[in-house]
Amino acid sequence: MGDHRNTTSNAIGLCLLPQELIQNIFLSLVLPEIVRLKILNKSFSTLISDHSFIRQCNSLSNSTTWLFVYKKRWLRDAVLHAFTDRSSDRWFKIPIADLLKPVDFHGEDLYFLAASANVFLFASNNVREVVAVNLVSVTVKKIPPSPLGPRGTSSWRRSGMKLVTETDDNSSSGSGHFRFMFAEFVGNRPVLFVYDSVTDTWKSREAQESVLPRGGLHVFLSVVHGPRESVLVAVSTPDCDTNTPIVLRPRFDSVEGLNLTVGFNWGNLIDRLHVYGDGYMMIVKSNGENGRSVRVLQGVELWGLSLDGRKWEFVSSVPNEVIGVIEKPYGVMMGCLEEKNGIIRAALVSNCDGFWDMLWLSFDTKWKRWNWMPLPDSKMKGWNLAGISFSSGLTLQ
Amino acid sequence: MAQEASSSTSSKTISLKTGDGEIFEIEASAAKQMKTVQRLIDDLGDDITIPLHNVFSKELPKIIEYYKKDITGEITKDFEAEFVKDLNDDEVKVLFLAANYLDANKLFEFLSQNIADRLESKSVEYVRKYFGVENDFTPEEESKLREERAWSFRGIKEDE
Repeated sequence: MGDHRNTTSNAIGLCLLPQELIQNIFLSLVLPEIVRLKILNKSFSTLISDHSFIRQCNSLSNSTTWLFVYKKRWLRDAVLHAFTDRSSDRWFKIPIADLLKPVDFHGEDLYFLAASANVFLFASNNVREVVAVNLVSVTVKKIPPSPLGPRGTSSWRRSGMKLVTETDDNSSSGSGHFRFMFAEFVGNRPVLFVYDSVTDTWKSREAQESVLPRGGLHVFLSVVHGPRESVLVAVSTPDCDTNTPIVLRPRFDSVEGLNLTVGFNWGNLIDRLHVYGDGYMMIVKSNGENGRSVRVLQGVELWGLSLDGRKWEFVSSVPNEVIGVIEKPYGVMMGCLEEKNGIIRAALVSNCDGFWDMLWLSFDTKWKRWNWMPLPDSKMKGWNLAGISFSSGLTLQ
Repeated sequence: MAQEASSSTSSKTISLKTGDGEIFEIEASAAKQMKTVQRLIDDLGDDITIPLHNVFSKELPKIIEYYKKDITGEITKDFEAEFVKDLNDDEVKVLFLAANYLDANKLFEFLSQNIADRLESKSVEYVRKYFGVENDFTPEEESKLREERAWSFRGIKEDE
């Protein structure tokens, strides 16, 4: 290591910096940027492979949220796009076609289900299977069918599902172990299905009518949502495959909310899009004219489960000044929603004449503050959206 | 000076002398934010002009400007953006090294992030030049490395 005190101010090369200083700079970069710098030269490659650096990097990455969007246009031309609010002016691309060759999955046929840490789940419609891709170990593994048998993508899209990865604080890398769960009616009973990658088996438990216990962490999975009542399954984590899942039937009382209208309003259709995730519901209201296929965003509300799980409670509305900025005409809209550490994040994706528009909204439940970010143009005109999900916890190695 | 001066550091100024012989004044409370300076004050006393051999008259005023704002709690995102706006990559490098020498943590972390921002989505060759390093991989080693990370992300603007 060079002694930087001997250098003059103008001829300084940063190569004379101690490793720690360079690593400090690198820690401010997002993961994909760090990975590509391995190629600078041999000592940088070593620097990036240093255990303590990797540990710090992974720890920071744990709190970095990514939005993954799977887009495809034609056969085999499928790319997973990634965006993070830490590097907010660009999209990253993950080419996965090569990764999937061993399992003979074809890009045109896939639907992106979920992601967490280094694990990405895809469902194939043709063979009706699910495959788990691990980006770091570069492995691909087919998941055996659940007790319900092979499912096509339309069934998966209907279910509430969650991917949970095991994080081992003692190791510098993700262990790659995960649990994948979904809830579905069997007969008329909601049942929780949990896949464990360690045992490579599914467990299923019927959800019980019970009270939501106070405290503790839960996973909430949507089963079905009606205009007045939803059915969700809640299960405590960890040990979600052995704990008893509970049925929740929260009621939605629009009268209780502020300024909510359902249905028609003097010739204008007020559209409501509901997006669900992690025990929260986002209601996106839009105005559209009768007969026209274009709508304009009018308001966004966040609702959450009451403590006892018996009803949906109003949490907050996106402020008018923000709506003023984000309103624009669109044809179709969809979204995804997640809650992590008290922050609720939503991605709203709209399409107008083939052009895609994406918006990242977040609400901090502690500070009661909204934040929003339009996503940069992903140059995807004419492509099809085949799955979208938030994720965090990518690791370097 | 009387020992009571240490309890009224807010109005006291410290003299700093750069490696190229120029003298600058800084408030004692701002000097406190630079741990190297504070250590020198503790050793030499606050009446003496503190020598900073490795910081020069080009950088020190900028650093003083930053900490002037810091002690009045006025550092905002806008101020920080303005602060680095007209600095080229080399000037930021020099400031970064000075902040490190002075053990001025807040400025150091801010410049660390700023350098990272400047390197983001620049070509590998550019980053090599910035750090003053040469590529010492053989073509085989390099292509093997690229293959290993074939799965990894590529920025949409990148051409590599």
